[in-house]
Amino acid sequence: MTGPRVNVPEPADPDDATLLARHVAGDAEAFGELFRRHRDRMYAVALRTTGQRELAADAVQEAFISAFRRADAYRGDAAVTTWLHRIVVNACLDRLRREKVSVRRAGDLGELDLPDRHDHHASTETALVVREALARLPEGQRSALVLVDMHGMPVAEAAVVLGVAEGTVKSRCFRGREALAAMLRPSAGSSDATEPQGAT
Amino acid sequence: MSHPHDETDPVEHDPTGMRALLGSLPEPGPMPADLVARIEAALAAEARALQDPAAGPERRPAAPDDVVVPLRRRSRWQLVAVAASVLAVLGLGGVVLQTMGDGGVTASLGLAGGSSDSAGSGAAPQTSPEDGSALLADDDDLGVVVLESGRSYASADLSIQVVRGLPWDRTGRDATDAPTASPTAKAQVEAQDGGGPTASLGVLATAAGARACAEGLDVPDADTVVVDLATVDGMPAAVLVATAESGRRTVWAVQRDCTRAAAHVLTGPLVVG
Repeated sequence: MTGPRVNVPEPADPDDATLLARHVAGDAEAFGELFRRHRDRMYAVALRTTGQRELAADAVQEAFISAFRRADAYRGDAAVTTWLHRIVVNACLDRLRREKVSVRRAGDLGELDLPDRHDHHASTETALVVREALARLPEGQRSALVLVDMHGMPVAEAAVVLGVAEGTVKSRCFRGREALAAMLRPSAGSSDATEPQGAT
Repeated sequence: MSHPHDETDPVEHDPTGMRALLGSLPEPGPMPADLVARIEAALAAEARALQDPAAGPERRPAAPDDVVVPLRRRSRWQLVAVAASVLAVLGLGGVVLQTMGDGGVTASLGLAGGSSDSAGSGAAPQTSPEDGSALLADDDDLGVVVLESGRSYASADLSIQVVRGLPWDRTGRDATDAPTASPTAKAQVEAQDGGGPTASLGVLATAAGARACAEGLDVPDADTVVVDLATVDGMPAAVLVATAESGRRTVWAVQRDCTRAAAHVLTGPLVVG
């Protein structure tokens, strides 16, 4: 007769870092679970950062593939979600810059392609106006506002995601809000006349 | 109207009301099903590639459209200072740098120390280490310096090799400390878009390619990047050193086909300063 076996139970719901470690170790299912957990959030960040569905889709796909490939580079210094956010935001900014170049070449300001499927209520118009104004902000300010004000991310985490100092995140938030307020002010006239100043 | 604020203000401090407005916007909703399917298919292809590289997705080299031009320009002195510092990090004591009136940086690299045997390959450097190595590209808009030292790095000792010679001032040398160039010892600065002698060295031989690789490693745009085309563990590879404005340096060894989409990391990231 043997004594009771002592098993170390596998957690039923492993945390993100465990899943990433399993993926690196060759677990074929682990990254899929990470994708399922975070895809909606990452898509929302991408959509709000780019303001364009196609760009957001491409960026978030690129980001998840990049994370899949480079999971072994994750050192655990920050939460997996922070790491994912960083990859997604960088992918979005890359896409936006490429888009900006092509838009300039076309001599066109481009059109915003903002989501409205879930905006079927009285604030739809307001939401669209705000998002259009948000899309006109410099990318640094827009990214900070998306993470901090729209997604409620702490400044310290946003600083890691954006690769800048916490003070920079805060100043970008402050300046971005002021620029937004100026654009949304009824007396501001056309939005073209109220393009935000400063690139950070 | 501007609302005075400073870094001591909590981020919640918002006289404009925009924080509350932004926070009240409806969520965009879940990821569309077609996109979920698309990404899951792409991830499945990646997983197959891990099992059987021949079955994996095609990984094309960086295309011109992949080039990202950072919006933040770097000062010439910043690039010179960081480049000089990193060249010291890489142990290239014989390098001389000179700022040129037209905004370029010229250099001549004579190896003053360290191993200099170069593994032979189809991507062999144009000049042997004994003859001095070449500065292949510099671009202060991109914040990139690319050189070909022909040094032999070992992945197991990469941080030691890089740390050796590091000034440890954490900010890079002051620009005024950058060695002056010998007018007769200027190295070539190749065209950015390939062609010429650098073409055989791969995408990393151009500033744009090096920056794209750095992007693939999640190096912030504000960081200055120095790439040394060399060998790592006897194979043609590259050592990429990213220096942040704070002076913090991070090092990777990557394959020479490193791109934004596929960085092909051999070793790293290693924080060395």
